[in-house]
Amino acid sequence: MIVRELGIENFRKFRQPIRLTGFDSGLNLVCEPNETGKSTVLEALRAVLFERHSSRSERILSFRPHGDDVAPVVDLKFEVGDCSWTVRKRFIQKAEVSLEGPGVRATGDEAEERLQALLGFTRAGNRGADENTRGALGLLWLEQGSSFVLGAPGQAARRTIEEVLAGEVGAVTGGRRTAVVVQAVEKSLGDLVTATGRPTRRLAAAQDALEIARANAAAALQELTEFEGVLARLEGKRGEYRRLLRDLDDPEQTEQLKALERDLQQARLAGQALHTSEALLREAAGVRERLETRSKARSELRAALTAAEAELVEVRATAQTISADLEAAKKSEADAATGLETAREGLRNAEDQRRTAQVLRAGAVRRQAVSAAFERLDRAEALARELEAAEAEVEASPLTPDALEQVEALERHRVETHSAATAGAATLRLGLLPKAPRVSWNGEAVAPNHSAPVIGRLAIDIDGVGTVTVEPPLGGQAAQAAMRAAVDDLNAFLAGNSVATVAEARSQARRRAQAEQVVDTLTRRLADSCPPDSVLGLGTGLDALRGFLVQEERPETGAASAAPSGEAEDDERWETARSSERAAEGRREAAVQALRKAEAEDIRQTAAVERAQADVERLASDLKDDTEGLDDEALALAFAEAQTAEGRAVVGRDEARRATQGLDEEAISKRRDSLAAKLERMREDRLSLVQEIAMLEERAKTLGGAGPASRAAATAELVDAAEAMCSRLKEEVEVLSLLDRVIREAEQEASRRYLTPITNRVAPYVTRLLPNSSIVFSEDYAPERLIRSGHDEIAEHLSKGTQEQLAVLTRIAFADLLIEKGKPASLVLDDALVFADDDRFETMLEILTEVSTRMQVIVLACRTSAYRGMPGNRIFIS
Amino acid sequence: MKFLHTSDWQLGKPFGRAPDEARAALLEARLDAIDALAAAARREGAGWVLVAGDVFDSPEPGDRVYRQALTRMKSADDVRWALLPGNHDPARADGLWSRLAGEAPANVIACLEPEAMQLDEGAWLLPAPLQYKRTFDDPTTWFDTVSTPAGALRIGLAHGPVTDFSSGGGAANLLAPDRAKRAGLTYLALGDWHGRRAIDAFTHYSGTPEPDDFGREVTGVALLVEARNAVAAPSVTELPIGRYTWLVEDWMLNEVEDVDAQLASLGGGVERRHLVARLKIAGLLTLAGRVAVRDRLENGLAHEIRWLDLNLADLYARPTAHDLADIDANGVLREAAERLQSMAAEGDAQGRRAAAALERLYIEHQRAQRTGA
Repeated sequence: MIVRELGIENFRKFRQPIRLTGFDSGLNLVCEPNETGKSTVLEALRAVLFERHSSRSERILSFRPHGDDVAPVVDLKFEVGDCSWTVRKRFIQKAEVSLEGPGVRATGDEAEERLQALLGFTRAGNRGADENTRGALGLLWLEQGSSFVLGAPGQAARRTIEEVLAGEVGAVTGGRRTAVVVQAVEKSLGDLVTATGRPTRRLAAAQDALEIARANAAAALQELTEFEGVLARLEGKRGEYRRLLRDLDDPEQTEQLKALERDLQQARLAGQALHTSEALLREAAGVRERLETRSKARSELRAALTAAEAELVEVRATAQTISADLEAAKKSEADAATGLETAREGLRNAEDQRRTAQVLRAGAVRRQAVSAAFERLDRAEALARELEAAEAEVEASPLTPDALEQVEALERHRVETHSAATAGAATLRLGLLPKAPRVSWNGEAVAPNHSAPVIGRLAIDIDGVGTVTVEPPLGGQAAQAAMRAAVDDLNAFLAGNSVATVAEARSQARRRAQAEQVVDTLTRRLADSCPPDSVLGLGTGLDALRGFLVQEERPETGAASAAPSGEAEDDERWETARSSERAAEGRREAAVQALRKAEAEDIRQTAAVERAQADVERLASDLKDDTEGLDDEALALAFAEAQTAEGRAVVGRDEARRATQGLDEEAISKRRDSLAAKLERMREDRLSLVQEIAMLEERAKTLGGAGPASRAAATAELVDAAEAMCSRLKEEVEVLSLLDRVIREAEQEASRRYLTPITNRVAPYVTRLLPNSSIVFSEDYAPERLIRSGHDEIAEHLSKGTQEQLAVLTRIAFADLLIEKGKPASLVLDDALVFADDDRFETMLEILTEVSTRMQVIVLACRTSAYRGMPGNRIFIS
Repeated sequence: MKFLHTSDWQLGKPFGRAPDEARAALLEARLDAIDALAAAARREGAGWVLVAGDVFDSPEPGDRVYRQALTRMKSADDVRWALLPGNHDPARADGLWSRLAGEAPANVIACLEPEAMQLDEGAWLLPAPLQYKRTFDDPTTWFDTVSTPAGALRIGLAHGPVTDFSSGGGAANLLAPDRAKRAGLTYLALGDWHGRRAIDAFTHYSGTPEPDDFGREVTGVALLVEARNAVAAPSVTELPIGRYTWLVEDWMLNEVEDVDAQLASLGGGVERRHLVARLKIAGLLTLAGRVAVRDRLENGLAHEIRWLDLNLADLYARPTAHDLADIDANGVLREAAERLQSMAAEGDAQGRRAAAALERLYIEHQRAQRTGA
């Protein structure tokens, strides 16, 4: 394809019509500065071919110059093969298109379609033409900024390439049909399963239908089972009813009931007879038992009487012995009492004598103690006076150990500050000749060779000469001030304690410590001289002694009277009297106890005699009473009779018992009741059976009316049909999937085969630009990898410049391919190669120049100088 | 005396495997057979229609079928109908027949007890109703001993096979083949076999009046029986009743054109709409040929007849170079076609699938061409 003339009006920045003419068949250069409209030229070129004239898409509307409500118009003269064509499009307002060529004048959609067929692109979509619709020319006409995109060709371009490549590899077209077939297959597949293989639409519907059919079949089967169950139950109930009626009408049962009634009557009579005979037996046995008991009691009574009489005799003898014992005991007690009284008198006398002697002895002891106490007081008072004097001396001295410690601290501080002051001070040394005048140092005369540190202002007066003043350095003043303060503090403290010097302070402190020791010694001696006195009830200390002796008179010396002697004799006498009294008391106590025991024994024995006497009397009376009504002979006779009567009653009872055997009233009664209840139940059962049968009959009728068996058969068959349908559709899915897969595999295979010619065509260019390199294309014809000296590089990771150059070279290869196969192709580059370095740019220009001998190349560029050396036709926009 | 002998109506048979539209028609046709029988009886002057069992397809056919049957028989009130329970609709207590006995119109008699019943003056019916689906005592034994007035026609009515086809013996409901002779019957009307069959001059199976399945020897007739006296063999005439003809055919195709001949002769003179056909097609054709045959059958014949049950599993396609060229001389589709062809050559399940896929490819390709792609 060769562009010859392009007219543009009302298009973007070209409000006024412009016309670009004189395009050469080979290389054309449109070199203009930025914003001249180069890109608009390419845009107009694309619009007049690829955009639909009738479209009002945003892009089309954007063709209008900004703010103008006008109709953009583009016309293009071009050649394909040897034929010239003119196309003219007017957009938006009164949109129109016309195409003129050899024997062709077309307008409207016809013109669009012819144009598409001629140049191999497809109808633009609603949003305008894109890389998928523009075809090969779209691929080869690189707009500004897109030249370095290494993308895959769009659909239409790819198809064109595939068409020409198919010829190249010995195949004919088929791409489009493949797409249609794949589309149809996928549509059919999509009617059955989703992309992820889940059933949808037809298959889903078939599966749903199968589920429903299965549910229906299950329901029908259940209904049928229920119906069969109803019929079976009905039959069962009918049989039950027949058996029940037969049982109810059974005459044997009535007979049995009557027989039981008879038996019951008989059993009742026998039971009563047994009852009576048992009562008689109980009565006879009672009589016999009573007589037996009486006989036994009488024998026992007699034995008891005999025993009681013997007891009485024995008790009386014992009583006489005990009376004599009592008298002896009474005499013993009286003797003991007299002895005790005598012993007590003796004891009282001994006690009185002993107490009098004790009082006299105690008075003598106290007098001696008081006298000793007065002597102790005298010694203690003398010590107290000494102590008072020592304490006064201590009080008088202010230099306590604390004060001394403080003096020492202040002195240490003074020495430290003095050292600090002298450390940094200069030393002034006098060296005067013997004849030198007198020198005084701060008013103080000093020796001719005196030296001292300068730690303060120092005025040296030299008689008859003058005064020399030395000022210590300012830096030492703080230390000097501290030293002065320390001296002041020390002197102040010494003055406060009424001492002149530190040495005096130390001497005074020593004296005070000695005085304190004297105080301590005297205090201890004083305490020792006033011990406690247990005789006078005195505590420790001088005060207690003073207090006690204030109330006492000082006894005269040597007046202490002697205490009476014989204390041991008094005590012995008193002890002997006490022992005699205690022995007499013991003897009396023993006599009293013996008497009490004898008295108690006497009383007890007297009572025993009375009790034995009463027993004998009572038993004799009882025996008399018992024998009076019924003597022994009569009793024996009555007992024998009673025994005979009891034997007869036993025989009667046994007979009655035998009569009741086999006639258990309770058991018979139970049997009769249960039989009666059974009959009653059967009558009730009959009624409920009748009702149940009627219900089941009705139910059978209802269920049967719905035709359960037919329904079950029909639904089962429908399940089979639904299953068959599902299987068929699943098989169809398999078949379609297989077909889809195989076509895709074939497509991939084909793509791989088609790539070889492209690779071959682009190879010489790539080698020229990048020696020892080659490009590998992906299946969609996008440059994928660059192999440089055996190293593999991902195309997308290459530098922008290299990517752009490879993209341009790939386009050239595509264009070569198309031209060779007689397809319209031309190359348009808008501001391409901007990232190329000088060498590569040169090489690219060489390649482009070469290419332009085979096809039309239009270069739109803003860098005039860069293309200056390039041959070719120059075209100007302005 | 003239009467019609028919059997095996099997009203309510569901035909669940047939497509919906065929199912309804086939079901309705069985009911229509009652009307056809009534018309035939009327036309031939037969007063009775004796139905030898399996009136209904199941013991509970459902109210619609039940009512339809009764209504149709009632409306033919110049004809009397004697119905016998068969193994499909045995006369069990409280089931279908209990209802029918109570609700049937006056001209319909349910033969529920094995006891002789007077049909007309001098004509007695001996029915052998089945109480169960399977019985192992010959229900017609009592025919031998039951007495009827001297010289009266004795017409037996029973349901069951006279031959045991089962391998192990012990077939259910088996009837003595010489019962007519033993019991001195004028005619023994039998049901169970759906094909019409004469056992001897006195013993006949009428077959079902409306054919109902593939592969059965059925004729769709009823028998017009005319008995002149008690001893002579009656005259028996077949009356066509059925509407649908059920065909089962296996076609062997060597080339596409073979199908034309087969189609032309299919069903003889039977109207296509009354045909039900099961076709099993075998052969080896070109891919184009198979597609064409399939098209003729699926898009042609299937719509012409009532129901086509088509089996093409044995109709193999051997794609020719021409077939493949039709898909594409080269290119992707050709490549895909060749791959599928080689897969199909394996002959296993995947191979059959590949063959189907290849055929689908061919069809889709043709379709794409038709739409101008």
